[in-house]
Order: sequence, then C-alpha cells, then structure tokens
Amino acid sequence: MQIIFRHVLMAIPTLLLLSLVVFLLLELAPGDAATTTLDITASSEQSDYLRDELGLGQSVLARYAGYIGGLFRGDLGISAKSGQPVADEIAIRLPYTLLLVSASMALGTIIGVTLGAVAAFHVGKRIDWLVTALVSIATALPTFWLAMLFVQFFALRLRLLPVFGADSWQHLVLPAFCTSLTLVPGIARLTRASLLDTIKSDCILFARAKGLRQRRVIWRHVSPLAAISVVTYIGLQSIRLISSVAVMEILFNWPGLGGLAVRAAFDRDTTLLLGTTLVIAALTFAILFMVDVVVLYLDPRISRKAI
Amino acid sequence: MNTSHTAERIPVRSTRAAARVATSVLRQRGDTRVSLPLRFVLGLGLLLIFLIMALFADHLTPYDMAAMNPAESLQSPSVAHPFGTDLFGRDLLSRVLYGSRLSLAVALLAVTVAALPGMLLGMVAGLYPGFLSNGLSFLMDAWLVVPGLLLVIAMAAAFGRTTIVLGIALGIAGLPLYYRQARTETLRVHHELFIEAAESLGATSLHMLICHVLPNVMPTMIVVITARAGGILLAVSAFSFIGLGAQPPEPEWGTLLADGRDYLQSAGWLTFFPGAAIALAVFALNLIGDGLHDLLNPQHKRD
Repeated sequence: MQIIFRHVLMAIPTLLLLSLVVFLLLELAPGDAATTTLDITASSEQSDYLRDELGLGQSVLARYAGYIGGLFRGDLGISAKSGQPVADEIAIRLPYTLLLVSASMALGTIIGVTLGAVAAFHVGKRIDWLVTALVSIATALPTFWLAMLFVQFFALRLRLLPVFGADSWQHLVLPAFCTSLTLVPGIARLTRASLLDTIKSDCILFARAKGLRQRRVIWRHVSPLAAISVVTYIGLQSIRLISSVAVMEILFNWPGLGGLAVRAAFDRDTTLLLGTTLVIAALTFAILFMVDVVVLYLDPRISRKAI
Repeated sequence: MNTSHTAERIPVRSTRAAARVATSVLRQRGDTRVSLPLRFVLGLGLLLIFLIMALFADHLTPYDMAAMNPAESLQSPSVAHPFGTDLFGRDLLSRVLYGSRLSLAVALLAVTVAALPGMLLGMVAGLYPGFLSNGLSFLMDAWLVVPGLLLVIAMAAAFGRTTIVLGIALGIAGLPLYYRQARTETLRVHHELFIEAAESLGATSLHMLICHVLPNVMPTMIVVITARAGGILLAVSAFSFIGLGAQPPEPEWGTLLADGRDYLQSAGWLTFFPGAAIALAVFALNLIGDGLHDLLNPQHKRD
C-alpha cells in the first residue's frame, strides 16, 4: 500500500504542475488555435465564432479550472483541429504506443542483459572486449539513423519486412527493435558491471562457502541481486525511451501517441497537446511504478509488507 | 583559482581526487601522477576536428551550401562531390560541414542555458537547507521524471519550431541533473572545517559560494556536463529530425537526415553521411566524458 500511496502522491501534483506549465506556455505565446486552424482569408467574424466555440474568450484561470474539472470527469476537451474529442483520438492511438513501448522494453532488456551477462561471465576474454567495444560504439549511434539504415537494408533491399505503417505484426519488428537499441548499450554495460560487483559480494561468498554449485549460485543468488540495479536502471531509462518512441513513431508512420503530440505542436492544438502530454507523462509514471514494484519483489532486503 | 589548495583540506577522498585531477586536466600539464587515458586524448582530437569544421565552415566548404544546381540533382558520391548531392543539386559535404556549426551550437546552448542556473540553484540549496530548498528539490525531482519530449513539444508549440527554442527546451529539461549534482556536492562540503572557518572569519555568502563551494562543485559538474553532452547532441538532431528544431533549408544534421528519408532507396548517401557525422561527434563527446570520468574516479576504472 505504501508504495502505491507514495507514487500517487508524487504523480498527481507532478501531472497538475505539468498541465499548468504547458497551459501557461501556450497562453504566453502569441496567436491561438483560432488563428492557426482557420485559413488566412477567414473573416474576423469567423475567427470570433471559433474562439467562442473553443471558449477562448474566457480568462486564463477560468479555462484552466474548466479543463482540470473536465479532466476529473474523464473529459479531455475537443481537438481544435479535427473537432473530435481528444479522449477518443488518444484512445485509438494509446494501444499502439503501449505495444511499441512494451515490445521495445522487452527486446532491449533481453538483448542488453544477454550481452552484459556474456561479457561478465567471460570477463577479460576476447568476447568481453568485443561486447564492451560494441556497447561504447552503440551508445554514440543515433537510433533513428540506424533505423533508416535498417529500413534501407531489410525492407527496401532484402524486402523481408514492410517499410512503414502498422497493419501486421511484421510492421512491429523494425520499430520495436530500433527503439530497443536506445536501451541496449546502457543495460548491457550495467548488467556486466553489476554481475561483476555481485559476484564479489559477501553473500555470494557465503553461498559458495555453503558448498552450493556454481550454477545454483548464479541463478539463485547472483542473478536476483544483479537484477535489482538493472531493473532500476530500466525504469529510469524509460523516461528517455518515451522520447525515442515518439521519434520512431514518426519515422515509421506508427500511429501512436508521440506522433499525435508532435502533430498537435505543429497545429498548436492546445487541448490535444495538453491531453497527449498528460497521457504520455502518466504512462511514464505507470512504468516507474511498475519498476518499483518489481524491485521490491526482487530485493529480499526490503520487507514485502512495504508493498 | 586556488582549487588544489582548497582541495587538500577536504577529507572526502573522491572530491579531493576530483579536484586534483580536474585542475591537472584543465592545465593540461604539471600533475604527472595521472596519465591521461588514450580515449580522452582521442575524443579531444576528434572533437577538435569538429570544432575546426564548425568554426571554419565558410573556408572549408568547396561549394556554397545553399547554391542549387538542378543539373546535378541527386548525384551519388564522386570526386567532385565526395558526399554526393541532394534533390536540388546542393553539395552534401558542404551542408554537413555547415551542419556541424548548427548542431554543435544548439547543443552548446542547451548545456550553458541549464548548467549555470542549475549549478547556482543547487549550491544555494545545499548551503541553505530549509523549507524553500526542500520545496525546490521536490520540484526538481518531479521535473526529472517528466520526459524531455513533452517540454520540447510544448515549447515548440508556444514559441515556434526553431533551433533556439529547441536548445533552451532541452536545457531546461536537463536542469534537475545539474541541480541535484551541485546540491549533493555542496552538502558534502557544507560541514567541512574550512567552511566553518570562513564563516567564523565573517565571509559573506557570495564569497563563500564563489571561493569555497564553487571550486569543490566544479570538478563533478564538468564530469556531468561532458557525460551529458553526447546525449544532448543526439537529442538535438533527433528533434530536428521530427521537425521540432531546425527547419528544412537549414543544414542541421537531423534536418539533413529528414531530407534523406524520402530517398532511402534512390539516394542512400543522403542519410548515410549526416548520420555518420552525428555518430562521430557523439562518439568524440562520449570518449571525453568517459575519459574524464575515469580520471576523476580512478577506483571505479572500467576494466
């Protein structure tokens, strides 16, 4: 219970603050949705009408209060550009983003942990050197550039995978893999370091001293301990992953939230921008929360009652 | 600045090592106890090449980077155009060279805009713990878990999709990192004798901040900044790529990549070279960051 309480206590003020910051930012800027939505030839009556319709005539505070009030009823407002309820537009796209985020997190974890573990168990050997070198090169590579090279090679040259869109599971392969590359180098590096650290720790020495076999020591004692720092790291990196997901969504024409948010910025569609921003932030908090729960289960030193 | 002099009095081992090594790095000579790792030198050399490219782009480019030449549209790399040409027949090498100027400038803006206020706020919060500084820390922690993308999007919507807005947005997004680091370091030296001594001698707050806290915070800040620089450069080009930074005629590396997206099949060189430039520059910055990190934490040296 404690952990849920703590997370909610942190998330709600943060979300409110974020919505206020975004709201005020858009208020500060010259021009509004009425001017960007309408044609340049629109008469002042037309834009006045639209302003009235969108409630732009009221004071800033009144509108913000109205927006927050609607939020608690599950009403995210109407998109100025498309005229659709923002909640509907988000609901259509949220599953795609969830799919891409979870697939890339899973892939990144599997690849990263494997690489790191292989390097750690062969420390000082040639394969360790190779992984370390690969990792330090991969950290510097822009993933969207790699994504384009992969599209060029796997989709356009070999014609193994579809290029853009989201119609079948094959469409997920390239975006998920390319997004996961944001996580792989860090996870691999950390897995290696934390495995090496754990092996040296006293509790492992004790397990060895009990006469346990190498395999059991590694699976039962080393892995969970090493996993704690790796999982914590993945949680922190998920904040960065969200930005990377948006870039990939746009690159691959993946119909997710990131693309929607960026389009809202192009159109200066305030309600859509606020809605997508809040949902993306809430998604990040949800990931951080889940990571904390996993860490609690992994770490025998923390009492499970704390959950 | 009497960094090493002050540093000698700090019992905390890593801070002392940090201060000592950073001064030797900054002076580039003198302290022979620490040998500069190879990767640091390598990274510095690479970065120097990029800096020269950025500073002297006008003199280095074989062609006018904006000059259109329809007769030479979409030519593959050749002796005349080593990186090929784009749809409008513009020389890609010239555009990549100019791109280094824009990309590095935006990254520099993102660092300076945040590092200075973040460091100052962190030092003040560390020196004067209390209700205000706790509130500030809470705000910074909350800010840290908000993805940078959201601020970039909101700022772009409010103030326009330009490189300057992008640089400032990325800077503000990273502010908490500098703040936290500076605050931690300040808290670490806060109870040291030399602070107490300065206080009892009647040192003003400003004097304390600049002469006693700053020299101790600076070394780790340098590490944080260099460690972040590569990531910032990546973010600058990624956001320009999706249209939230530099706009098409501007030769930012990310924008050049976005231009090449439509010609993946017919003109792959349009994506290859700008991307390789980003990768190399980020690699250089990462090498420097890693090298500095190793210099400052000899006990944590990567095997």
